[in-house]
Amino acid sequence: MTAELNLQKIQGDSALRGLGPLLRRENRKWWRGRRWLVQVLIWVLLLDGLLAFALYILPQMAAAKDAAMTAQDALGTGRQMFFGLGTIALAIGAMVLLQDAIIEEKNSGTAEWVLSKPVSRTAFVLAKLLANGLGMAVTMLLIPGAIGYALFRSSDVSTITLAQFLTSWGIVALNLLFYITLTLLLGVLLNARPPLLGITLGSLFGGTLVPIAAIVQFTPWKLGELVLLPVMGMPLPPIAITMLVSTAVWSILFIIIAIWRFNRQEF
Amino acid sequence: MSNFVIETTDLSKTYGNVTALEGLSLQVPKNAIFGFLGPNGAGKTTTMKLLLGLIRPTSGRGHIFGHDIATENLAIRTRIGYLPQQPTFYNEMTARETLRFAAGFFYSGPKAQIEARIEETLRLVGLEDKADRPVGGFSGGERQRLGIAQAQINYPDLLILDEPAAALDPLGRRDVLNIMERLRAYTTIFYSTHILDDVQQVSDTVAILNHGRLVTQGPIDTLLNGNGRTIFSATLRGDTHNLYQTISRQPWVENITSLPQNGVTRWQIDVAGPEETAAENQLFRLLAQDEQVVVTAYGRKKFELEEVFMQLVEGDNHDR
Repeated sequence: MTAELNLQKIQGDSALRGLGPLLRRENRKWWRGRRWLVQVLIWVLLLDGLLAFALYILPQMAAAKDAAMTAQDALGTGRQMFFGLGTIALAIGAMVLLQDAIIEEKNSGTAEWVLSKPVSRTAFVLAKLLANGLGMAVTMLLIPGAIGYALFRSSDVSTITLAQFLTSWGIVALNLLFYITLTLLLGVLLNARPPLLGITLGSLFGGTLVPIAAIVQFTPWKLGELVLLPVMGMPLPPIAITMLVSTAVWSILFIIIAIWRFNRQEF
Repeated sequence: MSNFVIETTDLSKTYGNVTALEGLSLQVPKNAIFGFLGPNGAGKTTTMKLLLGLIRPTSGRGHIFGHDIATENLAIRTRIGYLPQQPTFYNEMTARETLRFAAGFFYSGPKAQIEARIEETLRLVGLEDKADRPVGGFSGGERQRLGIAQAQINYPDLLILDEPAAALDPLGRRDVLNIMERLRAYTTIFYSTHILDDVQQVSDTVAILNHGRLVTQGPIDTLLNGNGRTIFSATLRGDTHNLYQTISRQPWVENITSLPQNGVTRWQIDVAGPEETAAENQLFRLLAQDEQVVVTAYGRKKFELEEVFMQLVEGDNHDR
């Protein structure tokens, strides 16, 4: 046998032990195959495609039918599609992509196998969060966002500044983070996909129907209404701070609870 | 420093009202191939998962290499390799990538040495020619071999194998047993199985578990010699009536079981434990001196593991 002496052993029992190989495996799922390309195509076609349609094709179609549609109207429709639809569609995308991330590993037995190695359970959850977070940030936010900003800037009537765009896109990103962390937490807590999708979709669509402002202000449920204000040149209302901070706090709490719970689960 | 790699004391695990493991006190000696036997549902997998820290004990304690299984499990897992009952890997990875992934939890470099170790491990389990095929297309036997390969990628001091040959055909089983034999020189192997032939072939120490309780444990030779009982068997031809009376009167005879079969009579003579030497000295002489009887076969009874297993498990079932 080859002597083990020649190999450099990983020492210590830190809370992040095993994060490196786990991250490499998760990143590989995103970047080594076609997954990243498929995601980029989906989101560019959906968000930027609809934005381009609203900015450049819709006015021509309206003109062909002798309907009145100004460039400002087209810009408004484009904003609504890009940011409004983006808020909802990206959250659904996160749910679809992450629904299996932990449940599948628990049910198939790969989690049991991996956790029999010197791996901390905290590292297992963090690897899912970090790699998927990066993958989604690049394919769902960065690339479609950059193309979207370029499309807005190319419009004759658009006065959207970079700061305004980034503020609105930041709200979309925060909403996405909330659903990434919620889906991961539910993946830890549950063993089947239907209840996971039920809860996350229920939050996304049912939350907007909750009429009690005292509750809603501590949730991301009305972020879809806030998201258009910065790109329309309007200031965010004071309650927006509570909503944004609460959403960020919820996301952090979801991760803490997911790690805590995963450390106590049996396989 | 203890000579035992695994030591558990009153280790128990319950799920609600169901007791999966009850008061298990086990000692696995260093460099043993320790067969952990029991019917389905006896608690073998539960025990292994407790040792690996995948589940937590309800009560009792356990130590591996002197580390507590409940509080120092990460340190334990740096020195062991584990093959689950149904090995599942990431289907998109090749066998080589799977081993590279597993090695990444133990070694940081040098890369060339890690690759050499992977190559060596692939050779050990006979997967060199399938090394670059995705695991998703592997047969059950190939998966099992890969399972063994990944379990020992880190030169483990202890290999825990859960039913390593259960899903394999006879050739696959033989291969797995050969691999275990080869690894014996480097490591302690603690494995569960219900294939008793395999245990008899490779194990030196065994424990039998039934309904979550330990029925017996010890060296396999002791178990096959009757686990403290001394039994002689004799095959006789002729009229055995008088001889039966003579032998029965001996103070060291506990019981004689007589079974007529195809013109001969087979006797099984149970000897009282402390009188083993007296029986050895006198029994054959007594049998041979009876002129009405011809002794066609005689010897100390060697048990088959299956026989011992069935006796112990059924005995335990009756005691419940």
